[in-house]
Amino acid sequence: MTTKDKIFEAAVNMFNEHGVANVRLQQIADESGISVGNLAYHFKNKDAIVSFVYDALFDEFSNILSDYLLENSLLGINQQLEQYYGFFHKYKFYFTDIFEIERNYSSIISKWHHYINRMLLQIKARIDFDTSRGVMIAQSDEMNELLANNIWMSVIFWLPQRTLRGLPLEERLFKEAVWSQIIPYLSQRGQDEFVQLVYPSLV
Amino acid sequence: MKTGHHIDVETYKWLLQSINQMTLHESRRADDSDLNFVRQGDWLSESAVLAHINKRKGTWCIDLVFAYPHEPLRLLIRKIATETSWSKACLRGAIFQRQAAKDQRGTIEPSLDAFSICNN
Repeated sequence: MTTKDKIFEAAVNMFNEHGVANVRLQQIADESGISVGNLAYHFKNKDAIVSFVYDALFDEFSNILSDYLLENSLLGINQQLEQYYGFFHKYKFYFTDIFEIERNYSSIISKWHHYINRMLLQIKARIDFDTSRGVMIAQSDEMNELLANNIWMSVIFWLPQRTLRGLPLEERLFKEAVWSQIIPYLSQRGQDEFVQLVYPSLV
Repeated sequence: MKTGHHIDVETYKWLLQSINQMTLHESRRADDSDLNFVRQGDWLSESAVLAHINKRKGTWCIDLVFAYPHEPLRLLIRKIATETSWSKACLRGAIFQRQAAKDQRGTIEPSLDAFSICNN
């Protein structure tokens, strides 16, 4: 593990714990077990660390997005949900610091918009795909758009709402919450596929 | 923060739609002709590979020539890389040739006789 990786991990931990605005370089240095001087050698200031962390975060996010339709059964959706959960759980500060980031780092927020747009488009495209496959009930385009929005909200805001209510975070519960949005729109064939492929991973 | 190149929303939408259509093949049965593109490249697995170094626009260009020993006019030339010095280009060409050669023992080679050139 290189020093840069150590700093990265320490910064992510610190951001999750205290929020981007409240973390000082000293804390990151202490957490990664190096001196502030060494930290300054790798990153000239906190902004550089924030940029580096967000670069890695966006790389990971685009990796998840690139897995679109790797598996064309409902299992594909489930696998992507697992990845989304892992991602949002690892970078919990994505939500807690969204306003701080909006105020101080405009380039990051525009990147967020970009990726979030893509995520929404993917969910919509996935619904269209499953509708043409006969797994989901055919609806008007507007309804599919609304459904895509709701699914997206569940994926993005499930973790913050659990934290807000002081409830435990668990991948299975996350997947259940998202699937509960999709299940009412599954056709008979879709329900059969769900019971056969996805349900075993939820119990 | 690094800035990447991004495609716009409409293009991305179109891209997703195309992936959907490409993946959705349940209504159409697969056809033998679907594998034609694989067969078209079959001869390459038996081809001899030669690195051809030539000077182009002031740099040494490395081309890999794939030649089919049984049908001498079947050639494929691919530009691989460029180098600033001839010796470097030769070395790199040799490495590329070795890696691309399907026939590692080097028993297949195109012969000039196959062209049946008439030297009258």
